Amino acid sequence: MFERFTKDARTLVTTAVHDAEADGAARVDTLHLLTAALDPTGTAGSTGALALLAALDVTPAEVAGGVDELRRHGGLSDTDRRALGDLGIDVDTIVARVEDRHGAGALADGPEGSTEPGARSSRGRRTRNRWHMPFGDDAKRVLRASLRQALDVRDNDIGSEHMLQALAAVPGPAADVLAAAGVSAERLRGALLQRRRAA
Amino acid sequence: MTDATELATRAGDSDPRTGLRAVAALRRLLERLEAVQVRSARVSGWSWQEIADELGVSRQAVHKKHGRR
Repeated sequence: MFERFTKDARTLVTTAVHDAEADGAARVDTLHLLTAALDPTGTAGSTGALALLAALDVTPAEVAGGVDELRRHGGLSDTDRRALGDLGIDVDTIVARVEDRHGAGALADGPEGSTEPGARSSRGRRTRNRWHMPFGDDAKRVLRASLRQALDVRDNDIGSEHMLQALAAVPGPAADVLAAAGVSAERLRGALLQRRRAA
Repeated sequence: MTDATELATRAGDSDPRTGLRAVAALRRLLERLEAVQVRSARVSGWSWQEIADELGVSRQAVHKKHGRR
């Protein structure tokens, strides 16, 4: 499948892997992919994903802010929090208690995970190649969905724009952040089809 | 407004989507909580074996999952 990825999409995946590593995360998740999709560096300032977002009048900063907020809440979106609240689980209380005991942002995957210099053995670091950073199930689902999205609009290659669409289509935190910013898979698809017609 | 909210709440009760979403969210929250607690235990000087015993998993499993942090 990767041979069908455009340079854009490959850069997105590589950036996501780098971000996950820098975060000290155990796996690449959909939020890493989403953050990478918002990143203009390394691609001469514009990507298919950013152009598509711009077509919907949504700024990358808007979405990025949503990602940060969600990370702080242990990767749980408003929809997640409501669903858990329905069961009587108050996520805000959990976040507050954990931050009270373990510091602000404790539930976010982050560099603060490195509070244990002794255990961060040089052996572990050396043997870990960035390509060994595993993808989480959600992130894998997004990669697979991006192929479907490309086929759906009859594009031969998978670009970052199809990955953005997949991120909006696969239920989960990334889709929730996008939805909160007014970005849905349907709107993205509409913009993609319009682009095709205009081309 | 309140009617709409109530309606949405009631619909949520019977919507399998809400229940399934709660399970998926709980799983994610669990992973994060585990990472925080394991890290905290390590900082407090707990051995991997002690942490594994409390979590009810093997020492290898907990080390493989959290050892590189």
